Amino acid sequence: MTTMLLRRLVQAVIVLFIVTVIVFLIMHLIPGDPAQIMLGSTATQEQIDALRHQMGLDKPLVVQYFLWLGNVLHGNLGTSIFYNQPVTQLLAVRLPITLQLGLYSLVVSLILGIPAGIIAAVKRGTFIDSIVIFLSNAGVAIPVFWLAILGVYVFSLKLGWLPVQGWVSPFENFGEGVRYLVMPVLVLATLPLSSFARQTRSSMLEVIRQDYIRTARAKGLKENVVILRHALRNALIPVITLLGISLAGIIGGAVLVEQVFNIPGMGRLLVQAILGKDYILVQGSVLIIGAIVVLINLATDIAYTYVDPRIKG
Amino acid sequence: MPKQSKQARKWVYGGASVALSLAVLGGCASAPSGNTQANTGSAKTVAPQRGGTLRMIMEDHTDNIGFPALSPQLDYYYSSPALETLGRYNAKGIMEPFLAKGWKVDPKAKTITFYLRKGVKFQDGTDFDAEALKWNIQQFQNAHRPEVDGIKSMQVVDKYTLKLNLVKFDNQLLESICWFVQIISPTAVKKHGIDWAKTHPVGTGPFTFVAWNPDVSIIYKRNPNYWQKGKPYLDEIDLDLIYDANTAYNTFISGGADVLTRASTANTKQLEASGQYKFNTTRKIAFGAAGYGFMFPSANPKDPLSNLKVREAVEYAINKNAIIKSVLHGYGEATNQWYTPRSPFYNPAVKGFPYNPAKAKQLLKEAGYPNGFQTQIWTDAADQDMVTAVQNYLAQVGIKVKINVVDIAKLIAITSSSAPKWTGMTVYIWPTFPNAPVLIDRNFSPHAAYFAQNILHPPILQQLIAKARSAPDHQTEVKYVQQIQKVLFQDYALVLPMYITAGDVFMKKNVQNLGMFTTNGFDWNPESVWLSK
Repeated sequence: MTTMLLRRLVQAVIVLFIVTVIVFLIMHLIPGDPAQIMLGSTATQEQIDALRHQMGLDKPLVVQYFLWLGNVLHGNLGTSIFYNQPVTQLLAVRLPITLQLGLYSLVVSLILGIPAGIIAAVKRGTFIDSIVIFLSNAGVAIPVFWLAILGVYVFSLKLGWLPVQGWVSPFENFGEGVRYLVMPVLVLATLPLSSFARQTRSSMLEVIRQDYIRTARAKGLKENVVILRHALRNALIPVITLLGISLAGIIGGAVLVEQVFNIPGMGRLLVQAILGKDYILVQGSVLIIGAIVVLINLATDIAYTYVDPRIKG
Repeated sequence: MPKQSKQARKWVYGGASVALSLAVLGGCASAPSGNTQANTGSAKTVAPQRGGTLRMIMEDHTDNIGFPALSPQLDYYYSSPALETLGRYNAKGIMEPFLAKGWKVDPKAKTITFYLRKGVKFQDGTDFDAEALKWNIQQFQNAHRPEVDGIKSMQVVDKYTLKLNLVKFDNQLLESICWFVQIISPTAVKKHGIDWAKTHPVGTGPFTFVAWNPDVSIIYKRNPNYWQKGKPYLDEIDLDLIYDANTAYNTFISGGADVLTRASTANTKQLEASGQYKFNTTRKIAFGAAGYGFMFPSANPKDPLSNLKVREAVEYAINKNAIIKSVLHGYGEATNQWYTPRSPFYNPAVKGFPYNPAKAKQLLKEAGYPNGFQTQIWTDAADQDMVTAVQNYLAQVGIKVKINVVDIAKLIAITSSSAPKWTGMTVYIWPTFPNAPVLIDRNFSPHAAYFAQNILHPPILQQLIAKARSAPDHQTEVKYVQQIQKVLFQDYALVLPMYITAGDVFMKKNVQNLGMFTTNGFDWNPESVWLSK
């Protein structure tokens, strides 16, 4: 167990390092000079050169990278070119919003997706099964942005039930916060929810054909106990794999959802940073997103060991 | 017109930074003239009513709303409720006193003297006086802002009089100071620091700053001590910051806001057609729209487009009106120069090169390209449809065009004056604001940061720009700018002007005296807005 964890940690650090190199290179090799963009068309060449020097852009790329990496290791992600604020400060405000959005979406997708998959498996071949299959297939196929637009059209413009866009923290105003959260959370949850339902159904169908399930039933256990205690635990192993992937997907999906619903989270910040070629902010944001995804994968690996003891050691 | 990217505008606009941001706001959509129902004057007969909150949808992405000197992309509208300027442009493009009571410009003595309005206080209770104005201009000087270049010294004559001694007379300096230098409280900045000031505008304006939630909203409340007695009429102004144009539109039509300051072409058409909203438009005024066209590589001897006859042939080959009709759905105004016919700077003597493919072929033959040639056009995705139409027209006279769709960063890299000379044409966007000499100078000076390495700099053009900047009065300035346009667009054909777009601001019918796009495309008078019950 300890060896496995250490191995995973080392892998995580290597992955993060590679992520930093790739992001750094991409942001520096694509055309465009941040100093020129910042100063706009009113600037003289002298002003542009001075700003390039001030930002260290006149140094060799390798030097720039290691200077940045050194600062990162000291907890300094730099100062955003556009916002002129420390990146850590910006992320401290934006990240919790994205994490909230992601967490709520994950909870919704788990609460609805796994039971839907179980019911579909247990009721295999019935109308309910068909409905779950249809909806989950549709949920996987429909693009997030289209769903968001459809949701706004129906629930905001036609029915007037929900706001078109915006963000109110549920910790500040619970009622309003929930109103603003409903649509983005449901939109963001649709894909993982559908995936969970499909995967749970598929795994359950496989597990409930196993001998030990037949044995459990033969022992006279109630069907609920057979399904929830004996079948579900084993059926959940592939779902946990999916959980890790879905969490990373939710973080990625949040970028789109935050744009459409005008939510001031990290995804929107990242898009703005890319558009403005605020490479310091892009680097910091991607590093944090990368770290989150790596941590999620690590957590998934650890979760495996609890669900499936064969992996331990 | 296709929705243009904000970054694109920031890149190509020759105007100064405030103009850039505002042009973005004003450049999102336009429509054919003759189909408008602007609300100008509709509220003049009704007494303003007090109270209410005005919710306005603004474009997202601003970083500094309270320290103008350090904001190359300062977004004027974001800070206008709290910060004011010495002057405001009128509908004819002439600067008129506002926070200043008046000024005296002496070209011979090379001085500008500002006489300030008495009794004006900053929102922190301190006086707006000559020392405060001097400090504000100094902040721009410290930031090396080109808008205040050429000031040798400043002298506080008395509490309300400030005299500027100039290195040389430049008539654009008065306008630049009056327009760009949004006045902020020196006391507040000295007390809290510049970083604080960037997010806390403290000025003399009709509204005091309450809160800025970046990328969400900026909130202002009524300033009870405003210097214009009885104003403002509103209790509060909420600026909702929405980046996505469709989200902004949906929010507006769902009743989530009173004013929509940006809309795509399609949304503009829908809003107009619905008849449910009022709108103000730059289509009816002289200034504030954006011009679209192409910059020729006129100084690149390896490029056929360095030949004047070839440039003229390209112009003759393109049917601008047809492109406007088909690609822009009629939302544009074909042009042969920088300004619209509504502007005093418009020069009727510039005839341009009306669509004439036969003439284009003849000119190509005379230039030594009887079978045409191959070239390329650099554009961003926003203008791709227009460029494709141009490609088709040029093909008809034998000019084969390869379209290079690149992101804005690449366009900046290509046209930067420190970059190698580019070949082919690049999409070029310019603002039609009143400070013409400065705008033109910034793109066509040999020392400009963009384009300079690859375009001709005819001495006559530089002389006329210098004369326009040193003209002793507006009339003389207008005369020189008209001549500049002839040299630029007709005699040397350095730029291919395609069309001029406009900006529209939509509002609910109870919004009165909004003041946007009624005199020009960038001013706003928040103190005069009111909501009818």
